[in-house]
Amino acid sequence: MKTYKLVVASPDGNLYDGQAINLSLRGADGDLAIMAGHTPFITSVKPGKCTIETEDGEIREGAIEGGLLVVSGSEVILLSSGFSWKE
Amino acid sequence: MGSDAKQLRNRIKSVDSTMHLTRAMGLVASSKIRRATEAMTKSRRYAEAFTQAMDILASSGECKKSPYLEQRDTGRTRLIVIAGDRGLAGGYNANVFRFLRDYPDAELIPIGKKACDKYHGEFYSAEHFTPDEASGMAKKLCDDFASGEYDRLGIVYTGYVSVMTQETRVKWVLPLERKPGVKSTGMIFEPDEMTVLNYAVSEYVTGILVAAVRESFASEVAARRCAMDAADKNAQVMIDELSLAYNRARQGAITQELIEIVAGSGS
Repeated sequence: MKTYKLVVASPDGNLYDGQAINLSLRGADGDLAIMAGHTPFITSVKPGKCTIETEDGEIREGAIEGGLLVVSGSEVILLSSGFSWKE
Repeated sequence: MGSDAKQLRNRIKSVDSTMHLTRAMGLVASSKIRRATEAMTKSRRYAEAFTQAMDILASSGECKKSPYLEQRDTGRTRLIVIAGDRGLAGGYNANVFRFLRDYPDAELIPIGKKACDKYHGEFYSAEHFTPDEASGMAKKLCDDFASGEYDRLGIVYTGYVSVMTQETRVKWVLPLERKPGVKSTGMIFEPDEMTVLNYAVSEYVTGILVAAVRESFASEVAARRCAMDAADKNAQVMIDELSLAYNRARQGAITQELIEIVAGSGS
């Protein structure tokens, strides 16, 4: 599977910083997933579940209270001050 | 002579205990420096990433009409003032308050115990400031800005240049500025630029605010360490001088006594 660089950034440091296969969450217009090679894209994020499939196929889940998702050519940044991993 | 020596001894003792205090505070501050600068770097990275995204958004044509980009010049200014929770940090707090003299008409929102006491605001700790608190504050500020209650928002904070140097500055946050040279061509916005921008503004202010508080706190700890180092040195010099005077007084008293004994036996 192709991977891309994903950063989940919060004011107190990066909660995820590494390669990922898939990121799915709820955007302004509905659920969406980002995979490698996605076109440049910015959306606001709605509160809900956020799932990340890491490089080695592990599925990590977290909750997000809202934020901004920025997909640029080189990397994907999820900016949120209210993100927490599921225990 | 005897009472003189006793007085000096008491003074030496009191200076010595002050020195213990300053040394302890200096040590606490230097152990906090590393943690504070790490937190500062992390939050700064977040703020920078957000600023980049906001620059792209603000540069798009559709966002021109957003209330957050509207330049109004009636001069109603709101300033978030970040000072420390504690004193004894050299000129750290005083510099912030002096800086505010340039903005006598601004409405102030204090963070940090010293600022909250001075400007009678709701209490927010500078050391334990959370993104949640920042987010609550940012939402209200953004709503007020959009409804035209004030015209520009700034953050007065202390920039961390190095352990030795800190600098009080103001960072203007709202209205947003369009930066020349940033292009949003080829970007897809969902649902559209304006909605995303208006939604993201409060998150953006949150990020900037947290970064400013973290940076100010790092500056506070660094300023305190320098101040305590200097106090420590001064106390040492004082003790040396007092010890010299004390020894001289003691010696003088002994000599005096000897003279008296000799004079007594001779008569």
